Amino acid sequence: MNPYFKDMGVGVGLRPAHHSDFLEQRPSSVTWIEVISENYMPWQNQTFGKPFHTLSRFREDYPVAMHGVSLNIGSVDPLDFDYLSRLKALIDAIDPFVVSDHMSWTGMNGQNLHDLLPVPYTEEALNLILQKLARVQDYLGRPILLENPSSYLEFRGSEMSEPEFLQKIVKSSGCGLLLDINNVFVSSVNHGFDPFDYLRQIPGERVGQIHLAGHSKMDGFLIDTHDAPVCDEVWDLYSWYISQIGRRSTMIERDGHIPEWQELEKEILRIGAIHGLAKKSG
Amino acid sequence: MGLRKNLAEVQYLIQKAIRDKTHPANLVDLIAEKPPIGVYHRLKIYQDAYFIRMSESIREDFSICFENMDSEKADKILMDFIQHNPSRTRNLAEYSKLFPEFIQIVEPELYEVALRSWMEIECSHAADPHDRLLLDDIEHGADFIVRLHPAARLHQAQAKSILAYRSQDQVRFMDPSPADMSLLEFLAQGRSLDELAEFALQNKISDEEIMSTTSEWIKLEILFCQGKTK
Repeated sequence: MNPYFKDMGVGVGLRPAHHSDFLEQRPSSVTWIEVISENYMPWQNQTFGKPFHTLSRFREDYPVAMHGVSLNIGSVDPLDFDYLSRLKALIDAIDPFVVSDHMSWTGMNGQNLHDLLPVPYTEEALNLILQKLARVQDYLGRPILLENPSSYLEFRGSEMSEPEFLQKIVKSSGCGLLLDINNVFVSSVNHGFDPFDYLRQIPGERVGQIHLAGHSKMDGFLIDTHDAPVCDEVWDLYSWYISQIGRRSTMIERDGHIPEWQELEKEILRIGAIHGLAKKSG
Repeated sequence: MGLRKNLAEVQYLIQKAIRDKTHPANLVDLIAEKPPIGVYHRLKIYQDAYFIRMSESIREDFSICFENMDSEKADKILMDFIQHNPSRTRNLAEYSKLFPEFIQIVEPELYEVALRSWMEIECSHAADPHDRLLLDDIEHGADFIVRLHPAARLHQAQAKSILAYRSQDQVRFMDPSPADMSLLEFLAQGRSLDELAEFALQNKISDEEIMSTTSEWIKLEILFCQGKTK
């Protein structure tokens, strides 16, 4: 049994717009849900708020994946143990099947830009992330998954490619990968690389979860806005990738122009159809 | 790195460029030039996203402050706020906490509106008490204290007191009298009925009046009855 994942089937990034659908109908089209950890953690110097109690109700019906946006693993700032203690409190209370965050940084000198900023792919950044990751996983008492970023700039000083950097991270840290296929596609357009070639370099045995999402087309580049349906190119990449590595827990993220649940559910059912054609993982 | 900047220097330059909306040459040189998007444009994507994300969050949380304001003035206030108050929270929702204090300085007449908006957010976010006793428990002799509901928020300024509370999932406001405020503060940490009677005696309030007020506030979910731990 691979320690980095268990195929949980098809999920969705649950947002407040669909809370009532889940509380009233408990849709069977999804077998798990993912939530943004920070939206359910206690606020600073406070106890759990109302959102946590809503999440506890969802947890009665669905396994939960916790996905963070503020771990700031790529920052030169030291780890924020106040944040980590609140994250751990949520983990202990919810018992998620997986915990993830992003391979990026969100700010330095204590500031938070609330964005997922790219790191230069250097030995210095690699060593920093590995050191911080070891402490995070030790503190949380579990391996986490790190998500590949979507990015709009690359550094001239990078010493390796993003897939090489990710390979080294997973090899040396014991963490797994949350592979966002839309991010791969967005970055491939923005930086001019072959997304299939990128995916071939990702160690499939360490991919614990897959994200699918939509993006916005701008003049010559793509922005990872999560405000549109998954595009055909991303579906093609996804189908091809899981035909190579086997099924993985896969979900759709939608954060803007959020449609009615029934509309989003049509996309979600498409994952199930693709899963049906793929071999089981394990 | 190739251009001999360490990670701390790179991150400092990027963070500063995003927050200040500038394109310093020593940062531009670090970014790979790849057609069809130029380096300036690549940096601008992050700069624009930052200001849009932060200002939308504030605008949404304090919509009443901005609803009758012309857009130029609103943009200036938001820009000033974001530039002078970098977020130090892990959750964007908590960032809004700083706004009422800022608006008190730049647009004092909007302070109370902003304060009430923030109190409403806090009040909506707070959990219900997990150990609230029901009338049935009390009638069956359960020992209890009367306490301010965890969703209730009190603010006392020199001229005015404000109470935000959540009743039937709706946030409501009350402007308590000085006497009411004194009673609410007394009940903040929870008091037994004996302590409440003592408070009434000291403040020359009749037993009937204090019982009527606290009962009404319990009905409104400003207060709740908490089981006493033995």
